[in-house]
Amino acid sequence: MTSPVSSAPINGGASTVEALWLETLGALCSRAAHEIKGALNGVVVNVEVVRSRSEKPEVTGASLHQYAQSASGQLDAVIVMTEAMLALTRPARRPLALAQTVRNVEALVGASARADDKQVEMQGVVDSLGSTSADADVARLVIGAAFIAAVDASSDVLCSAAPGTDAAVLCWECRGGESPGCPSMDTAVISLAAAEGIDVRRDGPRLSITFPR
Amino acid sequence: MKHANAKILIADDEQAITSGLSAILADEGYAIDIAPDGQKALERLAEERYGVILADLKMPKLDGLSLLRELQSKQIPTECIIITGQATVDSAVQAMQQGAYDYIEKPLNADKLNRLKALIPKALEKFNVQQKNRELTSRLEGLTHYGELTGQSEAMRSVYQIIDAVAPSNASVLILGESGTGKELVARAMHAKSERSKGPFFALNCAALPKEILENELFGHEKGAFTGSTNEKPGAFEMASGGTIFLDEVAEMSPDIQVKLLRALETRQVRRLGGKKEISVDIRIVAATNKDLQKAIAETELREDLYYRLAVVEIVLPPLRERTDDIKLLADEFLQRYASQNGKQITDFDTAAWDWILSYHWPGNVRELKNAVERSVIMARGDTISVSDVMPRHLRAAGEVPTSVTIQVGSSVNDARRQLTLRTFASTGGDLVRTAKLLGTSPDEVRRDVMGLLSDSAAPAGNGEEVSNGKHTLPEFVPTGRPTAPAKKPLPKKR
Repeated sequence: MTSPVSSAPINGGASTVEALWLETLGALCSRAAHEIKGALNGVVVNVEVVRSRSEKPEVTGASLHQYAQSASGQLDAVIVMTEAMLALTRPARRPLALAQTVRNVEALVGASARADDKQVEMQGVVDSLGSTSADADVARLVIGAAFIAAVDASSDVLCSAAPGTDAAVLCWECRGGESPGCPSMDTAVISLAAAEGIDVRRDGPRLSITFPR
Repeated sequence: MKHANAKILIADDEQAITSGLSAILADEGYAIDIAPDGQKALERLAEERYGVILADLKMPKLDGLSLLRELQSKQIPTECIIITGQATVDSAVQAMQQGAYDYIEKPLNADKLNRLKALIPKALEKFNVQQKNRELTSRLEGLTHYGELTGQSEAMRSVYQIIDAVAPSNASVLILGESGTGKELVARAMHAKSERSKGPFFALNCAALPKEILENELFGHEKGAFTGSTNEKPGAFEMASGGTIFLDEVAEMSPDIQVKLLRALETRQVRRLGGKKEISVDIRIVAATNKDLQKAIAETELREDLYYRLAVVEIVLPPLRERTDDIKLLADEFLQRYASQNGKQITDFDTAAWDWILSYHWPGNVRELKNAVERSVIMARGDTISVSDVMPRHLRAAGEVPTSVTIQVGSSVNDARRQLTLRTFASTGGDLVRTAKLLGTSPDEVRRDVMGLLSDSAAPAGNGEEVSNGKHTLPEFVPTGRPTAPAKKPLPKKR
């Protein structure tokens, strides 16, 4: 059964959006911080193996490959998370590119969720979402808050999309966990979304958000 | 490498870190295993012994702190080094308080890794020492004999433990204890356990010899060193070379000899009386005294520098009255030994004799007990030894009784109560009613305490209680015309 989630727009305008976004961004960054540090540690330790072993004449380059590759892989992970973080700290572009925003949020939320043994899956169709005419700051806030809510509600989340001509629908399906239940979003965020024509709906373990074109 | 092949467990969920870290530590010669979370680490530690575990604070399933708590509660032997991000230093401090060996902050750059490489051998050293202690403690559990020493009390087990730990070294040892506690036996045990055991053990009583003779005995002399010295003679230091020299009553040495002894200890060289050349000696010195050394130093009877040279390790032998658990063991052993030596069919002490043996304060310690048992075996006419056989004559003649009980710290309340009951019981001449009145308890309780203690040593004769003239007495405890309790007056010290 589908239940529209809507409430009256709250007062406060831009300053409320900014405050809520900072709060959401803080949550995203703090979740990713441990993963960034972990990956950096992986880089440092593996570089140290390469450095110390390469000083030994009997060590061949091939035997160092595994550690160089591990350091490189960790560095790639750091780059992805750092770029996502930097992109989200910049002012939102107008109109907002939905796919890129979802990818950036997923880079931060997904890394920490996976470190906690959770599954976060993104369907490729997300990349064809396009943009929305809704306020870019509010749309970005809604995506961030929805992703956090979905991951917090479940140990197995599937993020899918339905790009349409009049609207773009983003959907999070909470599949796992003891009680995957309902991802719960801040009512203030839902109110701001409604004021911008963004429809937030909850259907059991499924959270869907419709963005106007 | 000192700790080559020592096993280390790395518990971290970040594969890039564990693989790099294990490569670095494997290069140091360690055997590395990896656990991807705290729970797996705990399972591995339950299966195998790891000297050190490197545990990340933040891990799935069981974090570093919880893992540490589990290690403590399950008493899993290992040394834990916590690896933590800067934001969790507080947790690392908490981990230290919970028994972690140390912690290293991330990022694990070259400096931190070098610190880790330096920390691990120290942690392994601690683990190995504790492991040895655990093995030793379990080996000493229930041990009744150690070399020629007898005793299974906590106090004696501690002594055995120290001997075990010190014997392999060359450190000088000072044994402190009252006369008759077995100081020479400790020295012999230490020699036997050391790598010098194939060398000589040379014992010398410094109080038994006049100054000149002691000096001659210790350092020897050259031919013509003094009137009548027609031959050269090596001293104890030379004769004990390659072995151990035991200097009993060391605090009785004259100041001149103390200076020479100090020099010999420092240089490991001696010069014979009348000699010019220094003779190198390879000796280990074990000294003993029954003196109050603080007082002897304060009164300049013993040089302080000599004391510090001798007392690299101190072993304090407890007096027999502080190891009452061992009295029965020793008395039984002496009884068997002397009965066999004297060809007598004596099987036990009677109840009253046991009561006296267990309640007497043995100022002459094990030596006094040994002599008392030997005498009683010779004097006994039946197949059991009575209190009159075992009690020394001077105690039988005296009427004084001990008015105090020494209870060792750590004794159980039950033991303390039983000692008090027995001593009071002895002081009343075996009067249950009077004992009960003095102790503020009932005759039945007194009897239960007395019989409870004696039940391990001998079955009570008859019903264990008789009533005569209003007195409840244990049978055979009150020989006619003889005082029933030991006197307070101590035996003269034997040297």
